[in-house]
Amino acid sequence: MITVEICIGTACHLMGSEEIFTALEELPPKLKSKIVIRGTSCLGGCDRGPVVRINNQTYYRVTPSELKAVLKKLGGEDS
Amino acid sequence: MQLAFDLAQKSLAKEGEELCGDTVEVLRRPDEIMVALSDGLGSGVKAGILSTMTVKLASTLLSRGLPLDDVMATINQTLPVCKERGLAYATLAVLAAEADGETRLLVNDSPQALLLRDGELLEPPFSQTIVGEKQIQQSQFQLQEGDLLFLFSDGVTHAGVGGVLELGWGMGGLRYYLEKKASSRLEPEQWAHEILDIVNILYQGKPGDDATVVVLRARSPRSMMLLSGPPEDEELDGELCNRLRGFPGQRVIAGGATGNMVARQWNERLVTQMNYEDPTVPPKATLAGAHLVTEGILTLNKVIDRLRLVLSGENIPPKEDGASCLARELLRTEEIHFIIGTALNPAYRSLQSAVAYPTRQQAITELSRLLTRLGKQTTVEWY
Repeated sequence: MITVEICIGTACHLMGSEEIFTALEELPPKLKSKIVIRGTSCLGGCDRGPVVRINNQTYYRVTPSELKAVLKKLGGEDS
Repeated sequence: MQLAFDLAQKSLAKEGEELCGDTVEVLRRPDEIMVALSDGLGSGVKAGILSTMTVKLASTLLSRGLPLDDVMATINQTLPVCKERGLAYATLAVLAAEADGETRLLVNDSPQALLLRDGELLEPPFSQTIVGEKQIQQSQFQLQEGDLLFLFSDGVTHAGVGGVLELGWGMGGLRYYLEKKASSRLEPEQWAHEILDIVNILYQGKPGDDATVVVLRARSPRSMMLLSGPPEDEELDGELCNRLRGFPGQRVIAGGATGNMVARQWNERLVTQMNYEDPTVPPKATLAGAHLVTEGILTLNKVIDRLRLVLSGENIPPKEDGASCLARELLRTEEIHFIIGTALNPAYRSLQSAVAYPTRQQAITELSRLLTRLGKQTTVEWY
């Protein structure tokens, strides 16, 4: 399973963490079934939000398209 | 036993009218709540002006300490009477409930008030009295903890008239409905909402009259400690968290970094939720020992918006986002102790200037001011 933790702190919220949640909802069902999504409080990257932690690796200034690309790669759906 | 009061109100405008001709005015003091409900003759702007004039006059007189009878007499002598119909231009119901439960209600041409106590629907005992040459219905009774008192305008009791029901559902239909729902544990806002939903259905979505319901609930007073922001001096982390843990009332945390600090000090796990019911409010979290955990500065500013709504006579939206939940909790609390940390997250400085959000200090000062206007007692400590 892939664990995705999205920071929902103030700075990350303002920088678009809600759009990250929305992007995850739009993933193909097969890939989505391999992912556990969690919200998390401040991950300490307030100046580089939104911050997302995927399988304990932290990503900064994440965009929905970048996140989808990373997850597709980890989920073995990178074509 | 001392009582505190929750109040909800909701109105439905007559079909085709943008403005409701009923007006409600609420006056809160630490030991008393006063409510004036008026229904202006006719509908629309004219009725709205008449009812607003009536409740404004009533609330101004009440705020200056005039007894209820004198308020009613003054209004009866002041307001004009429609020559064609021989009726006063607006009805008026005035309620004053004190913290010891002593309650007085004067009703001039409005439907009877109803009282829901321990699942049983009652009519407050009333007598007729002459006030300012007019026959008025007068009630004096003792409210108890858990009591729900309903006030209505006649648009509620007339629901369905000439449509699904020849003569409308009347007081009998309304009573039957309330009795059926008496055992449900609804909040005052839910009661107001549900009653007007039924009224709207009976009018087949085309209300033939303005309809208003006011729901007053008596309950025991509550207190809250709200911790927001870590202290500037890190050595105070433990002390503040211990004070929050030992607080006997509602324990609320507003802030992600604050939540992390408390979780660390309490040795508990902070679990954030992922529900964006309102996309402008970050999700809530849960922490064993805290009654509510929300994000900080954005949520506090949204709470201010919601309390301003209440002060303008509207209800808080029936949503479960952090700001709506915190605003509701604050309204259900009489004493609020703000413990505010002033440590700055350097990353916020650039964000705050970019989005023009008030600082935590500004938000708490405004929040405290609004709560005082709502009759709450607040204290603020800065660390």
